[in-house]
Amino acid sequence: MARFGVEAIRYFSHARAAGVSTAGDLTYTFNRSNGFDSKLRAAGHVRAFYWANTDCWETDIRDVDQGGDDRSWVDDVDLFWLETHGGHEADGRARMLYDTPHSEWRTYSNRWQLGEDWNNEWVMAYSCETVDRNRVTGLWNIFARMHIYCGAWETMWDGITTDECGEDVADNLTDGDTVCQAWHDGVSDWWVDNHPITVCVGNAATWNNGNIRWDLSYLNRDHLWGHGNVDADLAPAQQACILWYWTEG
Amino acid sequence: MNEQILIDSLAAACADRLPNRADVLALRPFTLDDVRSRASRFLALVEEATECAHDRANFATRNDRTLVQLANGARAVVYHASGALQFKAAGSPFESPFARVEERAVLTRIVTEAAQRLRLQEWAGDSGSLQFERLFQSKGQGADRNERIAEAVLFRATGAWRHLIGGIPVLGAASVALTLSGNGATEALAVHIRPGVAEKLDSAAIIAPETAARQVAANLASVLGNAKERLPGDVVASQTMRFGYLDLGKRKAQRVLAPVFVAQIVLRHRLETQAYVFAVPATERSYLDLPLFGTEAVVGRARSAGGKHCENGLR
Repeated sequence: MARFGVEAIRYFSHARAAGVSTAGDLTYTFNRSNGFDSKLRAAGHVRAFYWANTDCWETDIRDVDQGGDDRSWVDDVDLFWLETHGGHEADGRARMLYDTPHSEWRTYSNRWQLGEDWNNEWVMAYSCETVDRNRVTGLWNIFARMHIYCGAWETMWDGITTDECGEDVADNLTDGDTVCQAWHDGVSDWWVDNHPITVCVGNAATWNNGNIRWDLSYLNRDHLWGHGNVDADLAPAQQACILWYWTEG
Repeated sequence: MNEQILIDSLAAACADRLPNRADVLALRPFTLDDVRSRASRFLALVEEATECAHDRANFATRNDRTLVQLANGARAVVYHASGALQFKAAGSPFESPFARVEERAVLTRIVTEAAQRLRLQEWAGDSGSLQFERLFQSKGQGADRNERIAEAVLFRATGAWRHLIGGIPVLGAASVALTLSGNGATEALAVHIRPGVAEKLDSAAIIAPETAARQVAANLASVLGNAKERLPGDVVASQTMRFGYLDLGKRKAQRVLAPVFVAQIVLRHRLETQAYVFAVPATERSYLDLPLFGTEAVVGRARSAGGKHCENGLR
């Protein structure tokens, strides 16, 4: 079974008061993250941590080599669910806001190296715009051995009509969907356009000189532990391509 | 942020399509047996569309839904609270892509024709109808270490339809969503239409859209709180508002369909983008609970200074 961690931020009053951001509070954050948590636990998966609001720290995802503590948190679980405000830099790096400066107010994905301790396989970020579809390669460094990053290439909607997304993703995972399918279907209500995108790396056989063998990709093959196949980790030296799959409305 | 401009824009988005009055409807109560019978009808439809036989289906009841394992790994899900139904075919989501990235009009025609073959209109009920609303496309692409980018591949097309009762849309998740692969096969089908209307409870006057828009603006002000920096006039990147009934979601029991306004607002300022959905009553009297905020976190403990778990442990 899988070990998973959850970090979810609904209030951004400290960031606003500090002049770091003008971002508003979110409204149904915990409906999604509580739902994700309870569904996975009901299926026998183990919650390693669940931090909320100012207990969510950017050092939890920042690599140890970069002064962070990912080895104890995000890189210590198979699956990590994060919900906060997001965005990306011009060079494709993902960016996310926290409500406490521990040590910084924002995380930038050039400081992530996930999976290198052979633990993290999947990150799911219910946040706006953490992937730039024109610069997906800007995320390559996060795949130290991690398999799939699930995020959004534009807005992710917060409100009364998207409150079941966490339960939907978790149910999909435990019903046997691939991780990629679970994310795309789970966060899509086919009304508000949530812009889901999943990103993974592949080897030379998968790249196949540009004629991508999608059937060999993590996107096609990875399931949650206990619910189907999980492919072996791919070390950076074996990574020949970065692949992305998105839904647009 | 100019609140009056936001209110005017929201109100203008739906002002010309509003009835003066609308019915408040009681939804038909249903039992688990009703849900099973509805599921059988759905599975027969799925079998017709996919040749996925359900005579040897395995039913597993979970808390809020029944999972139906079908032949070859396909599955269906029935939600107990709402009667919502979902089907997912077996097989890889990357099998059978479209031969090329088709034009939207072509894909819309393909999903519409498939919906007609499946007679999806029949799920709308006697007083209802289904209206095509939106097309979604799922695509893949990749790049190598030299940033050589492969051509995009179109894998799936999803059509979304809206259920209307007496001409009023039932907002929320798509009422019907049909996903097709490149060979025209049904990859997924979702029917989120509640079993039926029992009676008309009331005929309520619809409030002016400006009044609803003002409530939406107040909701937005609540979530924005006080920032050190004043929001600029152009912080609202997009806004729209629709009038209709609201389905509260497939995991929720719901007894009443009542008129509401649902607004979608996107804000962009500096490094953060925010996309909010706000639902407010469209009547003087409120028939539905439409809380601005959802639940709190299941964990209420503070994290210890060292960053480790507190000694009272995880719940």
